[in-house]
Amino acid sequence: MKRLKIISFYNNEKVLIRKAISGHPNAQRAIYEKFAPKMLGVCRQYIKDLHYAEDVMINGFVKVFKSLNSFRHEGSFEGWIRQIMVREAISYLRKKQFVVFDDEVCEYNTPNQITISSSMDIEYIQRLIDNLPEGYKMVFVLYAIEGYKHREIAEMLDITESTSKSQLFKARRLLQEKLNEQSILGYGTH
Amino acid sequence: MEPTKFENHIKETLKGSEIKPSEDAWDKIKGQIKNEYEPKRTGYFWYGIAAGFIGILILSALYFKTDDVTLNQEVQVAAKPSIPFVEKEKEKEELLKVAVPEEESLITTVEAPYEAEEEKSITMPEREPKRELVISEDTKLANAEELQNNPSEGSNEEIDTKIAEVLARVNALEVNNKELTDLEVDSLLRQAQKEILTNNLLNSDNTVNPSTLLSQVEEELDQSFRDQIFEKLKSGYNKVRTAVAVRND
Repeated sequence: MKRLKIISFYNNEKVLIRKAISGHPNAQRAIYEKFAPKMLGVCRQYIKDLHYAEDVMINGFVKVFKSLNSFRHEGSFEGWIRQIMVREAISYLRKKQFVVFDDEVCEYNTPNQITISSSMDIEYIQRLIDNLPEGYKMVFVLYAIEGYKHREIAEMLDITESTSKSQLFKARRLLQEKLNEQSILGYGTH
Repeated sequence: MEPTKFENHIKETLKGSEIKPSEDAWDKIKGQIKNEYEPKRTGYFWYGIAAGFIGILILSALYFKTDDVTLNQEVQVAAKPSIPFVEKEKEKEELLKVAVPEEESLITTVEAPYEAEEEKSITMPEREPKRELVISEDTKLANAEELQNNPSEGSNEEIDTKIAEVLARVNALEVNNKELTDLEVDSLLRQAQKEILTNNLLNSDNTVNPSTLLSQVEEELDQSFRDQIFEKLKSGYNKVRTAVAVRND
């Protein structure tokens, strides 16, 4: 029964995509309604300002509908859209020249164990990430949240793998510091 | 550098994060997609119109070209036989001028160009002699009819006598209290015409009028197959009857 549901959903998604490719407005709207909230969340992880994040999402969806023909149904459709959104967000940040990659070589010997609290909500985490410099933030989100490898990040951001690693190290250290500050001040009392 | 527990926690928390977009976000997307789709459609539309127009042009060009070619061919084919045809017609006119009055010659000269035009439309050279024959027959028949309808001035007296004869026959039949039908009157007139034609066959200078002779022969040829059979049977019957009579004697 469960398998049948999955198959029917898969088929529906295929039909939806096919209709959207042929320019069916309802199918395009259905795809947008289904994935827009998640994709705005993705864009928001990279872009602090929600309005700009939404603009990036809009541009991302326009690209999605324009390049629907190139989707080969090999991976998940959501993953494909997500990839487009991430690239669009990176492109936006680079266009605005917000991103500065610090090539300073770091010592990775010291482990970065960040103490976490289970009561940390999305808003708090998002705020922590937002406060990171753009270069750190981008590599951290790509690595920690999206799951890209350093090699892939290096290709995407047109940097070296070592730069990607140092950016991640610095991002972790900064987050540790922030969390420590918050724990001293008393997280959850605000 | 493996992901830390903190990073896994962030991943789990943020992966499911959703933010509802503003109301006009879809309208913006739709507007941009529509702009993207519409030019393509209109492009195809105009391409279709252009292709159709070119197609019509090509077809019309081919159509007119083939027409020109066929016309040229017709002219070329008809140009060669037209010369002997005209010569033949001239010969015929000369022949007819011997017996036919001026009015007739005028008629034949008027008819000749019309027939020459008909000849132009003939594309198959093999059929040309046949057609010529048919046309010449037509002209001869027409001339013969003209001869019948407009006999020469010299034979006017003969016609008058024939008319008088026919009238006398009609009167005699009417006197015998017989009702004459139109068919009977027509047959009498035809008979009289035939007699006039046979008389006209020989000219005053004891020469044979070729056109009259031709028309007579054609008339004989026009006899139906049934008539021919009837004639044969009749002659056969006569032969048998005479043979029986001779034997009895």
